[in-house]
Amino acid sequence: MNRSTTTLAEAAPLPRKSSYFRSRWNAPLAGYLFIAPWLIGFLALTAYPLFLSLYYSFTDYTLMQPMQWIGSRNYERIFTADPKFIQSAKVTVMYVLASVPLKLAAALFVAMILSKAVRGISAYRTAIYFPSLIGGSIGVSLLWRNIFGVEGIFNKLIAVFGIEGKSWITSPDTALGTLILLTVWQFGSTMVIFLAGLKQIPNDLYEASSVDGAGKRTQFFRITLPMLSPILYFNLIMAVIGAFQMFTSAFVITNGGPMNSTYVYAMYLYERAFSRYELGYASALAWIMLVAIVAATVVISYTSKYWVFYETDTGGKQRK
Amino acid sequence: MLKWKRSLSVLAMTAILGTLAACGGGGNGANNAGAATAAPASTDAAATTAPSSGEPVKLRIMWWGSQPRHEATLAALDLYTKNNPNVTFEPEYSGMDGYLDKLSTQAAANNAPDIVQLDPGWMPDWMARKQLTELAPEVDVSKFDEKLLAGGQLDGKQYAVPLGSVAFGMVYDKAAMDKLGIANPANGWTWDDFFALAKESQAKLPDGQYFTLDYAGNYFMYSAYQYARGKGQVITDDGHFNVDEATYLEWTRKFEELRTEGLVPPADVNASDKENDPQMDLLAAGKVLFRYSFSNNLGTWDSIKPGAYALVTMPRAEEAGGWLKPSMFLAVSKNSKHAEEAKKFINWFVNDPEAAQVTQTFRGLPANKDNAALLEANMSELDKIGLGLLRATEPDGQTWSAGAGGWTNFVDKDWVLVRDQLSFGKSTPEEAYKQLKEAAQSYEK
Repeated sequence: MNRSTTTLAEAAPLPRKSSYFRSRWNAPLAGYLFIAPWLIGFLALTAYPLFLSLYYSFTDYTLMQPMQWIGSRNYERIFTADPKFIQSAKVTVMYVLASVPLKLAAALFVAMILSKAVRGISAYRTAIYFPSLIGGSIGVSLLWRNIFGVEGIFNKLIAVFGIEGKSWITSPDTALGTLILLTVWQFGSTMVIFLAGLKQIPNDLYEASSVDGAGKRTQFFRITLPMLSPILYFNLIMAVIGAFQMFTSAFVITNGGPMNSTYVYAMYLYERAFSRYELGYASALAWIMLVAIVAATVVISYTSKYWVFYETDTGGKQRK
Repeated sequence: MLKWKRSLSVLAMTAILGTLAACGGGGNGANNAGAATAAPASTDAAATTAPSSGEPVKLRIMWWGSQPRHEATLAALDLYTKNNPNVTFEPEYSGMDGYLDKLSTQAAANNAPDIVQLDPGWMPDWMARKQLTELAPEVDVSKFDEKLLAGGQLDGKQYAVPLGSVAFGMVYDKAAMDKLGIANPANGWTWDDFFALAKESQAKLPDGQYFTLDYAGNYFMYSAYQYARGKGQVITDDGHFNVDEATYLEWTRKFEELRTEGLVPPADVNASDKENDPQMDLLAAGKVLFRYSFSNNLGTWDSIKPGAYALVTMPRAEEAGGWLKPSMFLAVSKNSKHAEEAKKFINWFVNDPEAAQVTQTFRGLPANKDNAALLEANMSELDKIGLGLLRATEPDGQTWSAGAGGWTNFVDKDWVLVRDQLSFGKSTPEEAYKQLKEAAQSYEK
């Protein structure tokens, strides 16, 4: 930046030296031009709303009335006098803890099956990935509601085995589980990334190890998992962030019920903002979620050095 | 190489244009949000200066309802466009589920449709938040019942017109009851009769069929019971929690009994009920015999199982249990750019006899008395049953009130939570009462 301004000052009294001007300017200008779309989008659609919401979180803002600065009162209220905050945070943490490992395990499992060289494998891959394209949509949520309803297909299926079903989505014990199952089923993009990672593992490692007498189990834990750990690390972080923000299925399928068993944090936030119009309060809730996500990510990154293995690492695990 | 370069620059241009467009949109949104407080004034100014007719106008209109109501409303919109070729419509219609969420979100973004259908219960909120435009003088309300108009007024100004009047009562599966040999109820029956009939039906009901829904934690049904006991409104007009503890415990304990005797559905089935949904409505599915209903809703169930259902007044005790209320309101949102045209349409929709012929009674018996008389003269059998409930409720029915503003969430969320906890047996009537009372505190002013 500094260099550019000095160039401008030098260039001003010598306007005719346009070639000099251009040659010194072209490179950075083109660079800025190329990142401009992203930069403008980021500033206008991410940074500005982000900090505006930080500002709102210190106000009492109901959209229809002028906003009032109330300092940290929103935060105080959330932490001291808001049972719904505690309830929804609890549900969300449970959801994250249950859905993330299950989803990763399912994605890895399917990726390993699909990494085999079988005839027509790409057709299988497409077929298995396909549901994830429409996974987060309202339509699938509605479908899920019908599958697990009292008269749903799932109950008819287990009735064949003589098991009497119930309304899974309207029982407090099973509702969250049903939503977790929906998330696990949407493993497609995670699976694709795993698949790419699996393809990168050199085959010689497996060959060499099998010569040394390693079984499938040993190979999985000694070769596949360590070699895949950077990918696992990435998928873990993405899945955690996604799980914290879970909204659609809880909103459409169960509407937070029954007995608030699926009342996830994002739903509570939505309710405060758009049915009670308490935008200041909702902004404060949003910032708490942001801090929670950042904290979770930092914790994962911190532990990553104990279990993520990079090929460039000389000694495998970096324990010092 | 050259080709690659060219396609890259095309790509870059597209990206830039795309971002600029998105950015423009974002900027507008932010401006609107920031100018929210100034908006009413500017809208009024726009309304008075807007050309009154001739210019092509597209009005967005949003309502909820069942299929027959959608069809009738669409037909009315077509008719209006035929008479006023410059006005066309962009209808947004759906079931009740999620309607308020969608509308609230749009309103929060200053993007509500020009014309909105509102539930009487929401009116205090919407008027207090100044989200509606005054309808006078374009909309003529001289033919309307004063009692129905009051719900759409604030500080003497009319912000919404009632579309019809309906009676709150019960619907029952007459066909199933006749088959099972259970006596039909009669208008004017009491809550004692209701619970006695439930007991009587116990021996006759087959497995998987129940007398009524689990209404222990239902806001509307409990309101009807508290009224019948002479204890007044559950939430007073000045915004106070007014649940009579003794009456509430009496009510929840009676349903506790029905629950243990298997006369109401198990909790998970009860929670899966969705009124008027052909698949999930437990009355339509033949699982329950009784549920509450408004007099104009019979048509929806009848379309699922023709001729099977009948209406009866809400059971009474010392006082009547049911009431008449405006079915719903129609209003113009404050950010409408065509407020003038929207008001003209509403005036036609509620006052024109031709419009009444098209819209029939799908929003209740028209609130415009002339139109009501016109429709009564040649009514279908189904509408006559609804009218029967209306007339039976009229003489000593309770006075309906929109209540205080700001309690919508209390009714939609807090009562539902208590309902689930009661029906899943996770709380006692005493705890439920305490919980409601505590939840109410954050709504009381």
